Amino acid sequence: MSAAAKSVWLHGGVITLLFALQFVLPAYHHGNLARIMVLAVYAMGYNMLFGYTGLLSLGHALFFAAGMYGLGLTIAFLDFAPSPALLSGIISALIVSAVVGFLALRTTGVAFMIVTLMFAQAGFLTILLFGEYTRGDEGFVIQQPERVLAGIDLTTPGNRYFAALILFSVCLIITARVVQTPFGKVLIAIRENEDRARMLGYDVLRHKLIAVIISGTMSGAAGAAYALLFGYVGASFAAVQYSIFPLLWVLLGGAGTTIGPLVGTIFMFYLIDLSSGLTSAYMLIAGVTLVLLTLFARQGLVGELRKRALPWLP
Amino acid sequence: MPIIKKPSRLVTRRSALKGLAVGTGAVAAAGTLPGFVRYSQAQSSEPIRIGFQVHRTGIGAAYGRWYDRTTQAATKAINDAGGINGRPVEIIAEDDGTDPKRGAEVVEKFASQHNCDLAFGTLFSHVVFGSAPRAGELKIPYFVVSEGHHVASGKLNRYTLQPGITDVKSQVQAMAPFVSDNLGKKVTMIYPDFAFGHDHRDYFSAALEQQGGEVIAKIAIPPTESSFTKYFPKIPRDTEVIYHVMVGPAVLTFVKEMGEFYGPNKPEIFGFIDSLEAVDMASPGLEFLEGSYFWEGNPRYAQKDQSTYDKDYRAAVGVDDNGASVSDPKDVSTYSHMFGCWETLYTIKDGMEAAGYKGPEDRTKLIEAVESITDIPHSAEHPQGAKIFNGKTHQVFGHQYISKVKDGKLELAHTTSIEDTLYDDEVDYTTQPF
Amino acid sequence: MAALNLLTTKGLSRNFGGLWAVHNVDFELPEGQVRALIGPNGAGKSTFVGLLCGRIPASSGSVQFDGRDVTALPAHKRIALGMAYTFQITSIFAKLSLWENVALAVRRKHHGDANAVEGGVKAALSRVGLADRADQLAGDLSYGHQRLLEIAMGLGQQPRLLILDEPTQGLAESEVDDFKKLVRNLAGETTVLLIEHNMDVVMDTADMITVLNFGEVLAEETPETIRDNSAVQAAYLGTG
Ligand SMILES: Nc1ncnc2c1ncn2[C@@H]1O[C@H](COP(=O)(O)OP(=O)(O)OP(=O)(O)O)[C@@H](O)[C@H]1O
Ligand SMILES: [Mg+2]
Repeated sequence: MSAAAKSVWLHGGVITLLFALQFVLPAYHHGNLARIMVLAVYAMGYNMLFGYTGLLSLGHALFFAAGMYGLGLTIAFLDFAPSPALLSGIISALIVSAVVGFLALRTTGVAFMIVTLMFAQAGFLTILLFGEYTRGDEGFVIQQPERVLAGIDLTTPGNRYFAALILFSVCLIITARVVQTPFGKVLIAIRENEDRARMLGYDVLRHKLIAVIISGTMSGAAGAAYALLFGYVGASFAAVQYSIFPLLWVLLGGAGTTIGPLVGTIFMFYLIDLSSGLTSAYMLIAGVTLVLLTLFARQGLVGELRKRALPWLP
Repeated sequence: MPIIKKPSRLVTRRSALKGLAVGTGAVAAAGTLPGFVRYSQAQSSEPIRIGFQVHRTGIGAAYGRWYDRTTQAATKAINDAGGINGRPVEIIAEDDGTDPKRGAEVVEKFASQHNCDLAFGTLFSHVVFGSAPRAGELKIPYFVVSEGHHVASGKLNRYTLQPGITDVKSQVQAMAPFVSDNLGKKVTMIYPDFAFGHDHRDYFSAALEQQGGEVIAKIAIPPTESSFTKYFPKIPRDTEVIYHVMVGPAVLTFVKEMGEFYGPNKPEIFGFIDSLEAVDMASPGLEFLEGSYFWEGNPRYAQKDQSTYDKDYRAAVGVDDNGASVSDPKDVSTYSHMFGCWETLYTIKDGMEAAGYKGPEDRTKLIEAVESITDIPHSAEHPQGAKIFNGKTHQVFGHQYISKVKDGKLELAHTTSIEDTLYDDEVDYTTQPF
Repeated sequence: MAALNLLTTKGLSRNFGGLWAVHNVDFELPEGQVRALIGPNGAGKSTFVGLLCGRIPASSGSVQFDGRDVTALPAHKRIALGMAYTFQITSIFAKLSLWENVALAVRRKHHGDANAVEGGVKAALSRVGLADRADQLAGDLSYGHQRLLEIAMGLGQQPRLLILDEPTQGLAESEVDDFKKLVRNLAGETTVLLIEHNMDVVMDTADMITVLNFGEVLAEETPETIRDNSAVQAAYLGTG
């Protein structure tokens, strides 16, 4: 089977499985999975930059928030319907990521991490500063009537799951497709050996900028979808820990693998959910597990699987 | 202090409850069906499961610890007295990390995983905002103890109620008469530049104006600030009262620097105890606050004319006369807020008993029963004071306390009337369908 | 000047903190020639080719490629114009397959045409004798094979000018012979600029030799005459 055919089977299989799961999962896990799919979109966006291009950003919460507020504020103040609001969220993230990419890519390595972190911090403070409109840290609710997309009420579990699945599938297919294209291969080349990629005649900066934009826009789509599906917009999603989460999800699941972000997000969600039922020191359990994984499964779960058994995994 | 006492029943209800009684009768009649009998019998001994959304970690942890202690104490008291409708109460606590996303997840967990009858206990407003939409969608009653204006503002939904603690809008506006009558008419406000601070700014300025006073300067402090010296020169010279609501650990620096700025010739100072919840008044640097005034939700120090209700409540939760843990005098409680957990649980009990609550199928009856509550007398169940519940806005209203710092302790100086805390309804949740 | 010059530099210089690694080099490379660049360690050879392909910005002077001043162009644009560069210190994509390594080199020109890419990769790998290892990870190859892969990546670009910085370093005797053949085959197809310490290779492949010493051109001669140049011998061959 060719790489492309394997990719179709793998990703088609994942989507089919997620589709089927909604009929068998108990209510609690059904709801969790809807949320996880939205967050996995965020992780996939992050993975595009970190996993495939090798750029470690500490500021992705800014893009997530750009999508979230791009949707939320237009609903709250311009009475946008959900579909144009969703578009507005995605476009906001696109613009913000283009600007941040343009400026931050003048730096590399640690400096890039710091610059992205500072941009995100500036974004977070901006949200607080315009508390008049954003309600700052407290945030605001998007009410049920405002969450009916093209006649479909996204507040019911079935519709929400389906909407999350569609978004997830679209982004998974985009990711799977992009990494198969010559463009995606160049991103991987940049990750592996930037100097070499440049000396093969590739415009490294332009490729990185496009990667930041794809990554940021996908993250923003997740932010907008989160607001729409779960009805809340708030500054905590722009805070620094929401820049760290996608990094952890991707590291856990396997950076530079298409399904790693989903696996990592599921893993981390249930790690916290289950361990918090056992002890209030669940963050300790989560932390120890993370350390163990980074010691014994450096490539993340899917990355290890690829290394040990399935080298063809995209 | 005049406290409205209603010698009648614990909770007086509107006649709407009669309808509920009929409904309950119908359920009882249905109980004659063979299958149903077994079900309801099995259920009757089963505990009532209350999902407790607690801030164990994150910025709310200090509050969460005391919310937890109060909740456990109230649950014990309720169970010792026979539970609710003869069934014991079981608290299922889940940490929300003081995070709105996790908060929503925790509510889902209560509703679909733990099969809780309701969710309860959230303090931080952003967590309430993040969780309430899910509670509404999952149709699980969500009793918050947050003092945010979110419930009464109409921004939430029919499933979210705040019957155990007053909201910031009523607290703040009730301060205006006292401040303008006793401290001065020209006020400078210093507040953190985010939602909580903006609430204070807006509600207090409006209320003070009504009293004939004026906020002559509004100094917003960015949340990242750790030193405040550059802000004090912005305080106008003719300021008679400084109104401050700094929160977080920076408050100690704030007070110290304000002391250094003014020396002994300070204007009157009025603050919200939120700044100093869980902080020992004897902490170094706070000496400057001597003689200043604080809003308190519930007087931290046992007062001379302490009610027996307060005395018993203190003992049950394990708080000494200084508002600290009986086992560790350094562990200062969040006394101005945590009573809300105690009182909310008793209101849930009343609501469930009035509704003849049997299980999740009666959730809407529970909400209707609570909505029909009006007067809540000062009692062992409501030790903070008498209250009026507004069923339309799902918000309770009650007395506010103003204390003066004397010898490093807070001494009650004034108790507001409930009327001072009232404002026009902004929503009628009862018109929303379930 | 016989043929058209593919590459010309004028007064090309590069200063590293006071040291002129390359100083005032005027250099002409006619189309189709195999040119060897020799000189003792630290003579400035690598720096010089770095200036040509844009890896290192020039302190002064100019570079003309194919009749066009490329001094201001960034490296990737110069490469796109038809230069290819192989590193002195092996620089490959260690975690990718040989196939993908070469495909990255081939693809830039045949964007989107999968068949052309497939053909180009096969051809380049065959030329260096690595076709049967196409699916291996580049990082798993021996050092010598990695050098060959790097050459294949150069070939895969079908460049007008192929710059090779000490390609035979670390190759086995037999591989060096194969390399010589390869370069001779390339003659006529593409212009080659070859930095080389192995004089055998130089003598057997180069049409012309440029000798660099202390960043300056010391001599420019054919292999036949260079042995008699005493200055070169003194500086480099060490027989003076
Ligand atoms: N990046 C740099 N910074 C400072 N000095 C440098 C740098 N690169 C090269 N040099 C110096 O410039 C001079 C020329 O170095 P270069 O690498 O070009 O020599 P070379 O002829 O390629 O030598 P070799 O045969 O050892 O590869 C040397 O003295 C070297 O130390
Ligand atoms: Mg060199």
